[in-house]
Amino acid sequence: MSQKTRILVVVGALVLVAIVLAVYGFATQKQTAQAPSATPQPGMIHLYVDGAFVANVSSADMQPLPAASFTDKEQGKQQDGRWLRDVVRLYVKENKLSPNSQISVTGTRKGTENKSATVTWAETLNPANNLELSFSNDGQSVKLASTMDKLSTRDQWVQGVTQIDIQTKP
Amino acid sequence: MTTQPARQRYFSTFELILLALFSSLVVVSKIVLHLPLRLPGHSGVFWMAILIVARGLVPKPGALSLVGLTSGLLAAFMGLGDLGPIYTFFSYLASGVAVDLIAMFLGSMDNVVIAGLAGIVGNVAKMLVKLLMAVALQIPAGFVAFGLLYSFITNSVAGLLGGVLGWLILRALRRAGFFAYLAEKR
Repeated sequence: MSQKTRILVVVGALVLVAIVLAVYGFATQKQTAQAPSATPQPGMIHLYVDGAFVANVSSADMQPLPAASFTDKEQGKQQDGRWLRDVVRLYVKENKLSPNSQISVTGTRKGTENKSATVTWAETLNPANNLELSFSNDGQSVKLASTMDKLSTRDQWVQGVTQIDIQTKP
Repeated sequence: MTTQPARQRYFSTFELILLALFSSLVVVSKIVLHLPLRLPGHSGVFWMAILIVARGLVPKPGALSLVGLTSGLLAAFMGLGDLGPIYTFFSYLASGVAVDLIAMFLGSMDNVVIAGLAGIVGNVAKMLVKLLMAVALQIPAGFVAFGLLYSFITNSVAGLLGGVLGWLILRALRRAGFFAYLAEKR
């Protein structure tokens, strides 16, 4: 087989992969759109209010929200994403929340091991805390990042967010 | 009485040292070099360039798999990546193995088209492994939200740029006489 043919084979394989991904992506998005919003869907962030499932949240749902950004205390890097308070307001009316309402964010830091952090609604509203659902550097997952003392290092942040639980009346 | 010739090792010590250096360079580049882009796979620009240069300097099948394995272990132990060591290890390994296989199939990295294609395949392999693991572990990943085709395109472009960058570095090294120096060392 000549080198030109081999190059064409590789290009053909890449085009085939692109087609498969496009079809799979389209089918997944269609399936997600058709799925009943009352059940948690794999690959989405599951949002619960007072123990009841409310919504499947995706990065796309967060895109229209105002952009958030802060410089982290640990490494001085810029963290971009959306404020946690804005995401919560998308799904819960603010008059149902009290300053003591609790918001627990759970993620999968070690692949299968869960990790979570809990903050109050008052802490979420405090601009100095910079509580943000931040997009990872390659834009492929979401993490909870902040400048709060108890949540200011990468070890304390919640990476690979999978679930948000809101307790309106703690 | 007959004496058996000593079995020659596949990689020389010098080559193993070179591959170890490239493995650490992959990890260091991931920590130190950042492009101000929020595009899936953009780190492949530096990553693939390093892999292509490694393949050019140690043109033996298996060299890049070794770089992928070593850099994956280093990155996993250093806690790189947002989704844990298993996820990190396999994505690093996939890039190395993919560029290795494509180099075996297409041949030398002297050709810019081959280097570019190898970069694309390496970066796309990393993306596919991440996708498979995200699906298997049910981790919410941006692929679904941003679109798989979009991720594929950005990964391909970054891989292509990385491949071409690697080819340019190899060309510069050749012109500087580095390959003659390497031949003496081997």
